[in-house]
Amino acid sequence: MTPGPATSRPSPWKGWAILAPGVLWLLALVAAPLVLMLLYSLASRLAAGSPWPEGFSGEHYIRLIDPLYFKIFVRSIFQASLAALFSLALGYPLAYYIARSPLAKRDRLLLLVIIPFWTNFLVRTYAWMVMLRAQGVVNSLLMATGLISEPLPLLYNEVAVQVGLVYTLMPLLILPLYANLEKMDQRLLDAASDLGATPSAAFWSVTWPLSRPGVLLGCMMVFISAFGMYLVPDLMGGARSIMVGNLIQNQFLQARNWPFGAAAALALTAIVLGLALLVQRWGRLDGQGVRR
Amino acid sequence: MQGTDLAEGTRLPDNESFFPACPPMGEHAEIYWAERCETATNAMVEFRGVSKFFGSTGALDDLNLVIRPGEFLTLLGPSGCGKTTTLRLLAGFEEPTTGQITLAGESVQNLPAYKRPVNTVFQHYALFPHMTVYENVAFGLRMQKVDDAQIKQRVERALAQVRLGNLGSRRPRELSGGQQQRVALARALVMEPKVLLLDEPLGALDLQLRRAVQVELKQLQRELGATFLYVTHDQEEALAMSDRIAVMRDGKIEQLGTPEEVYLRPATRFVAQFLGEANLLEGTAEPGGRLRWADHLLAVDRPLSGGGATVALRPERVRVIWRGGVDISRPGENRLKGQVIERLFVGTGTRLVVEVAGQPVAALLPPGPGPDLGESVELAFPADQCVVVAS
Repeated sequence: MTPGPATSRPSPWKGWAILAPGVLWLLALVAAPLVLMLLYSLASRLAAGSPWPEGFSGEHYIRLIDPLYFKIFVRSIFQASLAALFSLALGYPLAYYIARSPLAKRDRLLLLVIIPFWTNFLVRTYAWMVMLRAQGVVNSLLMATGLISEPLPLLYNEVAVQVGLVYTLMPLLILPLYANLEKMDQRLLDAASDLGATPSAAFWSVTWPLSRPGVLLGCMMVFISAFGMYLVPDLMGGARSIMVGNLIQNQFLQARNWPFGAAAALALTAIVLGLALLVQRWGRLDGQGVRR
Repeated sequence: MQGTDLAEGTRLPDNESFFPACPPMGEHAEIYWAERCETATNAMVEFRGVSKFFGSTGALDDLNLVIRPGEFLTLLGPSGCGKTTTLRLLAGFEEPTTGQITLAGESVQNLPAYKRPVNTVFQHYALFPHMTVYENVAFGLRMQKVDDAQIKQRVERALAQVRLGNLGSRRPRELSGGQQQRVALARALVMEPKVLLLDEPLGALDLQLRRAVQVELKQLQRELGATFLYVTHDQEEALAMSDRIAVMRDGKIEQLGTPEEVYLRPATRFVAQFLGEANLLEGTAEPGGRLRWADHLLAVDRPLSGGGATVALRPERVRVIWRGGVDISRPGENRLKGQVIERLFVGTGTRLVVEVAGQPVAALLPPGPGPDLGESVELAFPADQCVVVAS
């Protein structure tokens, strides 16, 4: 090819012009609030009746290590990890089944997974409360069949929170995992079978390792969403099952301690970010064929 | 064509040599082989009356085929002819709708693919992308719970066999197409299968590489004495490598025979056209067993009786006599007069199209001088090159 005339080369300003709206949006609505939060978290306190920070200290970050608050972080990480694990255990077979279904059926099944997303989150959470409370559907049924005489304490504890988290967040795992399983080369399973692998051996030696990027991504989605969740523990949890999300909400709305709330929120963001980077690196090591 | 490769234990009618001077034609070919091999005690694979339907679509129609031990048998045909289905039935990826398949004398009915002692080289190799070359080749042995020391020894030998000894630690995606193909071969061969199934294994390689690998594969098969069932749509590949070729069409075997047989004595129009180029001369049978074609009477390879008939004539078997050429007259030859209407240089010679009584006839001229376009020529060919084919 002969070099084209100079005018065919787009001016660099054009690129910036196209990017500008998006960049401005991100600066105004993501970067600016983050900077603001950072400022708040480093302030001693806010001036009475004004949003302006006063003084400067790291005391709020130090306070996060206080066992009272530290325990909330640990519990949140535990609950979120558990939610990711349960979502994987329940969601993997489902994603696998959908990915192996005939094309027409696949779309219908995927729709069923997505439909709850179109229903109001609050309504769905209240629906679970109706199911689980002392005079709720589950307890009434069990008592009617005579299996139990006293209602079981199904609501307002950590188990209820876990149920709510898994129910709410499982689609976040199913969708990326489905996308991964669906594009997997079926002929690899033929090859495994041809070489003497039983169906279960073929799954563990071929399907499972090849679906790892989907598994990691799905688990991350569930973990991140569960870690910062405040509505589910707020409505379905008890006093002793509060999570980081509730702590932050309390500091901002009830305790009116914005600097401490900001410190907790930034700590949460940092943990999630660190974890995401870790998983990304781990996933890439194998995904891109680097020799072990 | 003597019975030199007569399979041991195959019983033949006493008064018949294994390869008759003129093998049976058309649909008889299949029955011929089925009858003769029915009694073979050492058939490696036998398909008996095997049909396969996918829903209401038929993929295989009453297939009868015997594969002998140590044989390189090719299923040749256009896409959709049932050749890959035949392979997949033997591998165990599909179950026949009706009929029986036996492997080394035992029925493989209801035996899942992972229990069958056959291995496949897949069309697009289907190498495990998350494993190294070594792990790919070791996979089957691991599944068999062979101990590590023996796995190492056998994998290294298999990799050496396909000349990939130093690439064991690579990933498939780091290899060229030809190397991937050889990994797929090693992965199957290391299992020492009773039959190695190859599904268009060279389809993704470029022509030059394909020719080289053809030779290597054939040598490897000969050295190992292994039984190969090879699927391809490439007639050149089939002719070059096979001990026998089964030409398939619409779920049936049209002809089964050695490469020489199917090429030189095609049983049907389809076989004649699918393997190489053929002039198909359609005419009617004349009293005396000759063919009346375009105002000419042609002597053909066997006496004809009644009705319409078609003969196949290979262009390279047609001698062209022209003004500047030497005319050596041979007795009993067919002779046709015509005019050159097309002349193409094809490297190995010159391809002429000669119009004879309004009909085009192709002839391949050896390299050197030849007639010009529009020149009157005479075509000469012996009767035994006019092979009567079934339609």
